[in-house]
Amino acid sequence: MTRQQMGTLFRNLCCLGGISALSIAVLTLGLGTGGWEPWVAAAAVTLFGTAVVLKSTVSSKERETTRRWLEELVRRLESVVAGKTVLEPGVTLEFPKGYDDIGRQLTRRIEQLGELIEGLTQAQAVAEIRAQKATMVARQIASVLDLLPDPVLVVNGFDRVEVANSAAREFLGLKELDTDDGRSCVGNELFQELMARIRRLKIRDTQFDWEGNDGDDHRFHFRVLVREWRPDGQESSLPSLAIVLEDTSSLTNLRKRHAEFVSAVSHEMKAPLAGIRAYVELLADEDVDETTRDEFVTTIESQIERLQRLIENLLNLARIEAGIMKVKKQNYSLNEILEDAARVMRPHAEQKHIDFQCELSPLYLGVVADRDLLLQAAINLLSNAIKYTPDGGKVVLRSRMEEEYAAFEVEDTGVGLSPEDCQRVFERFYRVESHKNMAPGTGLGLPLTKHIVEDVHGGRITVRSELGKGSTFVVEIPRAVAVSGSVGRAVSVGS
Amino acid sequence: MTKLILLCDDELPILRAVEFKLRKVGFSVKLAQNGEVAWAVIQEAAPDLIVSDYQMPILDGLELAKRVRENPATQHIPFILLTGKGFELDQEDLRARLGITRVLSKPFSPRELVEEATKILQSAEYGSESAAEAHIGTS
Repeated sequence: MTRQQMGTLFRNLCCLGGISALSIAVLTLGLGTGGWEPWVAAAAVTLFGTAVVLKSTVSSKERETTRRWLEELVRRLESVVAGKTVLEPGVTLEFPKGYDDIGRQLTRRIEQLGELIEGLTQAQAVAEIRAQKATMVARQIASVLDLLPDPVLVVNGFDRVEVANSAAREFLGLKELDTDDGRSCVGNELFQELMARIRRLKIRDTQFDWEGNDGDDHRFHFRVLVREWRPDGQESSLPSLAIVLEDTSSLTNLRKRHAEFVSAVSHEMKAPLAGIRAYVELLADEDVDETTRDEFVTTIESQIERLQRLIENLLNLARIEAGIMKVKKQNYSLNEILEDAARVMRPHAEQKHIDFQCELSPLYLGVVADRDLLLQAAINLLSNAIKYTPDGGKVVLRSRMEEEYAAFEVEDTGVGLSPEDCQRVFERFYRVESHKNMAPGTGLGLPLTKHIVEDVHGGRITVRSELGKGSTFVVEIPRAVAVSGSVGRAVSVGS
Repeated sequence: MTKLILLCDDELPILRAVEFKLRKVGFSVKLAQNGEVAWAVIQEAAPDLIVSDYQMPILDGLELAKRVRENPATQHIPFILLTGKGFELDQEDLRARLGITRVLSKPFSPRELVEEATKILQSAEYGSESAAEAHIGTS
């Protein structure tokens, strides 16, 4: 029994005592007058008083029960509202009389409310996780889209750009898409031209070729892939367009370069063939003295050699492509290989009145090399230098010892290369635009040379050049430890 | 009178072979290694026939032909084009547009070139004579 309950009981007992005293007083006064009224009055007072006390006692107990019940309900509500998903077991609820049903219902409702809130809290947590995940996925997709070299766009039904990867932003010259409802590109000519072309299409899910000049006046070739879709899946809604601009300029360029390559190869082959045919016919038709005859035969031989070199370049390149290049490496003197290359190319330089100088290092430059391939690399560099240097110019072949490398360089006073050309001259079939009219070429020599130097010999090739002043191609080949090193060490270099 | 032929090619062996053959037949020959040099030679003394390669540095054969046709003093000179290209060139178009009299594909026969040159020079001579007669006739 609680202190409160004891207090209530004590109060009720006091009341009961008071009533009894009052009844006795009434009875004592009544006895003095005689008759039955005092007894009735005393009994009435006692009964009334007892009833009052009893009532008070009963209602106080009920109130207590109700209060405890209400307190427990409040506690449970608070606990539910506080988000405690599991209700702590409270006091066993004792409902006031007549309130059992409603009490149980209320308790049940509170429990349901608890379950509801618990469900909501869980749903909210799930939604938050999903939202985080969606944001992450969106970021991932955006960064993947940004990695794509091809422009990708999503345009909504109001021609506003909702998605544009970095390639698309760069192509269209857009900054970040900062607005929620997409970016308007009303003044963007490229975008308007693209949308005008798409609007002319009869079928929206299709592709077409688009070429033109961009803002920087660069020529572009795109295959435009268009897909129509409705973001909410409703047929009645305005469709959005997913647009991918597949850059076909490299493919177009490659085809063009390939065609140019075939043309250049046939030209390169026809030139020596024309010489051979002409001189063979002269020898057959004309009665010539011995000196002239020797001259003609020498010319035929040099033209045959030229043809052979071209075919070797072509074959080696084909072997590289097919991955069947056979390499035979041995210890060689770099200077000896360079001297051979100079001997082959000197007549060509003389023909153009080019001052051709060899400044080879007096030191022994040992390399582990495939002699034929390295010779071909040196000849290719010398041939280019002579080809692209005007009559009366100068070509120098140098060699020198470096810490880890045996190096040689070919310097010319030729037409030179732009910084962009310096980067691209080693690409297969690439020909410097301004050089095309200067001399025939296949665009094979430098890529093959680079392959021979870097892949076959583990060396490196670089170029420094200035337009109109000339170029210097530098080749570095790892040095063989030929003097004191063992054969094993020497062979391991560059193999 | 000895006919003068201008021979233009960046391939020295070809120049030498064709020069040898043409001189043997009795033509007088001037040589040039690119279109620009050829144009300078032509302006100095107009040849009776130009034989030029197509692909050359600095100024190619077609650009040379264009200059020759655009200049009143040289526009009548017959032009033989030597080329390693062949199928890529439209001979009819070259004749109509640049007055290319004949296209010879490389590798060509010097013997055939001499025959062509002789034929063209003879018909040019005949053509100019008949043109002169026509001119006299109308005056």
